Amino acid sequence: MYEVIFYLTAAIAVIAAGAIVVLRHPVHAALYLIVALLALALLFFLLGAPLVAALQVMLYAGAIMVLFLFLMMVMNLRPQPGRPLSLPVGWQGPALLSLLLWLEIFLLLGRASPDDAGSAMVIEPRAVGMALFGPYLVVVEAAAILLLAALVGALYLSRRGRA
Amino acid sequence: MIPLTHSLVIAALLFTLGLAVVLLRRELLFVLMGLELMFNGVALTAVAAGQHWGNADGQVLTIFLMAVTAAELVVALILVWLAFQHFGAVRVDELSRLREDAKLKGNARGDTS
Repeated sequence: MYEVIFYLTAAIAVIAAGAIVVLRHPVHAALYLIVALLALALLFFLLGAPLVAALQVMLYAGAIMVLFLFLMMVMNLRPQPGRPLSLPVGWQGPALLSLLLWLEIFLLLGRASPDDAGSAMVIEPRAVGMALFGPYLVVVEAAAILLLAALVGALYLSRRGRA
Repeated sequence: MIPLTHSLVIAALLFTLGLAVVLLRRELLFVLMGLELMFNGVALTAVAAGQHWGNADGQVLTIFLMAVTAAELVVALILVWLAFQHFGAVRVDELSRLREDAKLKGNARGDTS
């Protein structure tokens, strides 16, 4: 049962990733990318990494893809200029894949005991936090400086574009 | 229990598909999406390996990977937007001008407007 769910999720991720290669419209590709990221989050959860799964949903599917879609709306890309945006045709595929993901989560949460999920080892968020702020503290500081640099760069570039 | 090899094969598939997106689709936004896919393949590798050896380091690496990706993507998206605004470029092939050329074009546009 656990294996079936795992491989089904992996298949969803790979199918959604493959759809990006062939799709024309960037918004459709972004939808498939969101589905792939959500499937990966479920894979992380199934592998026994709940913290990374939650971060994947919040950061990737939540924040980063919003940036993508925001830029697409600002750029207002169309396959051919003048043609109306044919958005309502492409929602079935991502919707079907998302429905499959939702059903898998429903199955997983419906089981009685959590260790029945079959995952041999769950590394708790506590262990990750202890590692993060123990031996990796210097890297956390470096990541903070990197984010600050990205913030400064984004501000500089956006101001320069306006001037 | 899923063997480590299967997770690695899935991660390699995702990475290859991301590479295919970068190489085959020349739109700037698609290139960034392909980069995202490749980052996620790597993240799956890290998490699967970390779980296999019962170590939290894989998840720590994935968290740092997310931070780096976010920082990269913010700057890259602004660069894509600037390329679109200044040159009207959506595809990578349209960004083949050297710097002097670009400056000349920017000056010409500034004069006419």
